[in-house]
Amino acid sequence: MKPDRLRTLVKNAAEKIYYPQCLKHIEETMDKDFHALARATLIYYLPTKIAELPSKQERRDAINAIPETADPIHTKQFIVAGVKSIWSKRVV
Amino acid sequence: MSFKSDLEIGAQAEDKLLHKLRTVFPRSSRAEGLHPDFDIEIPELKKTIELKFDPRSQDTGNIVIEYFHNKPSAFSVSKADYWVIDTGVEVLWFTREGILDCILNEGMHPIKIHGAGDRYSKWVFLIPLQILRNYVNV
Repeated sequence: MKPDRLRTLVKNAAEKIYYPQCLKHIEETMDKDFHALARATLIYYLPTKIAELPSKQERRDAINAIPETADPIHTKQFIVAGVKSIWSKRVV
Repeated sequence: MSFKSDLEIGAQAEDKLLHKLRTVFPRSSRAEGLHPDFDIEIPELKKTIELKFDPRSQDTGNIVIEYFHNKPSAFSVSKADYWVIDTGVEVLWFTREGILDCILNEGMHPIKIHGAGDRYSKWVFLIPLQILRNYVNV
């Protein structure tokens, strides 16, 4: 898979915001051989989308939708750290 | 460069870092074998280190952060508290969150590279050293 294609597909998956829906999008739009790669890449695109949510409750709900056992390991930890980082640097 | 010589050069960089660490933390030790979680352990601090020796960054200007190699790898699976990047001329210390901050806040995108001798392509972030230096946080 070409990087541009991966980026587009994973960005589209991240638009779904809620992790189970993101995975569903990946599974519906990508060949099974690329699911693990897409899941590993989603970590770098989902935090921006969650941080853009307007309310704290929505951001919290989106984070709570990520299973502790998500693959790869650290998925939830990375996404939480990413959301916090983006949120702390936002321009108000 | 072959996998073996990569390993040997990486081991030399580990020796150098271990030597320095042991002057302050004598119990510092190398992880046994090809440990995916970390390279060096500092029992006195209960902290672990992933060491990345990347002298090629002096030519390319980029640090390679691998996250997928036929399965989640390196940055995706490391449990190390600190990532230490030795460019051959400087040693930079990061937390994992520091590198993640850089990837997210600088809008980095993954690319695919195929190393000599590798069966599968690696998915990596190529982070300009000049940018990554801003995220040193140890």
